[in-house]
Amino acid sequence: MFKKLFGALTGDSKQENQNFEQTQTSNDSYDDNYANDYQEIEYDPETLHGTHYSVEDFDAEVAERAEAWIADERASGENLDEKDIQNIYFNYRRTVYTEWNNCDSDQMIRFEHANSLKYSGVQTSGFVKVDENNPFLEPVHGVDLRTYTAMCLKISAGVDYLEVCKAMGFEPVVWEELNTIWPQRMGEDTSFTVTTLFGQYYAENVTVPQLENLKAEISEEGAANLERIKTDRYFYEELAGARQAAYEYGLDGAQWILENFGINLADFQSVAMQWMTEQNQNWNSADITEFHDYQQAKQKEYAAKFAAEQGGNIADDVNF
Amino acid sequence: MEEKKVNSFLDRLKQKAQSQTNYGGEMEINDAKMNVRDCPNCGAGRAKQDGVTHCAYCGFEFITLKLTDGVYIKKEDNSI
Amino acid sequence: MFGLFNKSKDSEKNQANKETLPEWYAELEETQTRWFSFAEKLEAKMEELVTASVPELKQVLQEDEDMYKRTFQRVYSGVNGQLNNIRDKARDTYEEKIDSIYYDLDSQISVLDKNHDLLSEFRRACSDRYNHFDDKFDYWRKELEKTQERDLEIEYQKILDEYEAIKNKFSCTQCGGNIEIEKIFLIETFISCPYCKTQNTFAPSTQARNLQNIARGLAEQRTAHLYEAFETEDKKERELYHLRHELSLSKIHESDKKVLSEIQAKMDDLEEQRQFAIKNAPKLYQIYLRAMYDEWNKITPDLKEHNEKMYQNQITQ
Repeated sequence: MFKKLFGALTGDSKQENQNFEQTQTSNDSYDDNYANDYQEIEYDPETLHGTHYSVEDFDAEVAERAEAWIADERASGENLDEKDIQNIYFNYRRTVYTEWNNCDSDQMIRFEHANSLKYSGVQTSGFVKVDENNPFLEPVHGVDLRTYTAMCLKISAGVDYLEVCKAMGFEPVVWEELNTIWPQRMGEDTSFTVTTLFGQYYAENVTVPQLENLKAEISEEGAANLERIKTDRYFYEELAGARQAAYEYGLDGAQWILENFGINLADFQSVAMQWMTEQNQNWNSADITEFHDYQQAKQKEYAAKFAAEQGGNIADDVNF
Repeated sequence: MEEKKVNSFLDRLKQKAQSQTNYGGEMEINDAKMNVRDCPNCGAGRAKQDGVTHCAYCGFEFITLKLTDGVYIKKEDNSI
Repeated sequence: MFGLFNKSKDSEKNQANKETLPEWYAELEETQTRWFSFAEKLEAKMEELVTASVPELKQVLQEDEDMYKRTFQRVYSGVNGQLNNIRDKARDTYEEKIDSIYYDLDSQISVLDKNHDLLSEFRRACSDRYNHFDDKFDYWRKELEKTQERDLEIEYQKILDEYEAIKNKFSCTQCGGNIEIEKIFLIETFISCPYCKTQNTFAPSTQARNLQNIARGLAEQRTAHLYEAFETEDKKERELYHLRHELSLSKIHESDKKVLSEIQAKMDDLEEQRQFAIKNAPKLYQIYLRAMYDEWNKITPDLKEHNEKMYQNQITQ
């Protein structure tokens, strides 16, 4: 839709690119321009390509530059394998995208996530679309991946699998088949569509009508904590750090979280997936560093606590 | 002296590990079992005529799903 | 070898500079001595921790009746946590004591200053010592990892024995006719009574179900010699490269044409061997992979179809 607005730009994209490069290197007020340009770009919500050019033009530009480089390498006697060629394309995709949209690296990474299946054959959580014709997503014994995930969620939340089967109206023998075939498909699918979609459903905490009345027991405190890790990323990071520290001190982290915060493994993993998906979709390296550092700091704090409980660490008496 | 510290650490660690509950509770250890499901409608045992999804006598639907090719259950197990 | 050459050069230099050593040098020397002794003490701790833990862990594993060996996993993870704690302590101290003093002085002393070498040498020595510590850490971590290894043949044999014991023990719940369990079923399944055609549901034992979990590990155990053959070949490339590199260095100070051509001939030979290793290693890996999957399929034939897909994915990667 917006393509026409910027028709002039796509008309002779090569020329424009050179201009872009020049502005980037020679313009003194680069920062101002950068900010303004950044505002102006409109992105297609699905592909995250700028709407001022067409995807075909983009792909063609990348191919042209990559092939020129490949030809050059080969002419100088380099032996390029499949991986090298993929890397060359990968790098030019980054270059062209950044140039054409005049964007920062976070935007570029968001673009890569949105297009990972197209360009590298691998899915990214938060961007999977269900393709009805994908044989890996065909229902197993009439049970689709979404329903299978809903069952898994109930079971890892602590509901007995026999109860889950009963609610679904089938015998355990069917569940055992599902629980073998779906994981097998996850392993077989090299695009990771099954795995990633499973994770996406997990993050959404999907359910099906048959299972709605099955609830894992959760204490009042647990429910409050669960709500808090969903909305307060810092609190989530704290518990993730604590859980990691627990493992390092010989405690089962999942059980420890359940006992101390009342959150079961399914709910915890589901929230972890939610934050991960959110992070993929709104990639922001500053935030990522911030949360990572926060988790590390919290892990250290909890580690100190666990260490004190066991009478210190083995190497406490070694000093510089 | 040093030796003691490592040993007492290990002792406590072992104790801690053994006293903890496993997440999801203890796993039951079961022997192999054979069972049969009787038809809740006519009381007959589930017999194989054409498949496993319906009662061979009264047609009651044991499994409401459409079976596909799985590990041991196959498409042919759908009753006609 | 290259390091030795460096060292003698440096000590000569140090000798020459002895009278003119800068005032900060004493602090560097002390820091270096402390760092060396600190690393040594931490290494002793790692050794002490792992040697005491290994027999304990083996015993815990043996006594752990849980199918997933979760008690063992917790103890293991606690010991591993202490090992990581020692590594972190070394890393933090290195950053705090060595890096900081280095960067501090580096910002004050020009690279052109005749004493800058002392600073570089300090850093090189400390970082070498740190790498040595890291190697030790890797060694102890691997020693610890080995405690996870179980002789899966024993567990497999138990599963086979159990199957032999139960395969003729079941009868039809409806008519009482004998039903032979034709193979080790990995999950629940319907078994039709040969006499009255009743659909019995057979649920395998907890132990038999575990076959699915141990099958790959067992196949790997049985083909470990092939994997080792691949690894040896794979490492050869680096070894031959270094041998050749050393020879090429020895050429620098050689002027005798005859000797030079001999060295060159040796180098060519090493290069030829190296090229062979580069080509041969992937072949050996393929041999291992095929044998491992064949073995796996033999252990769990019911998973063959799936496993073959996995194999195809792996070889086309």
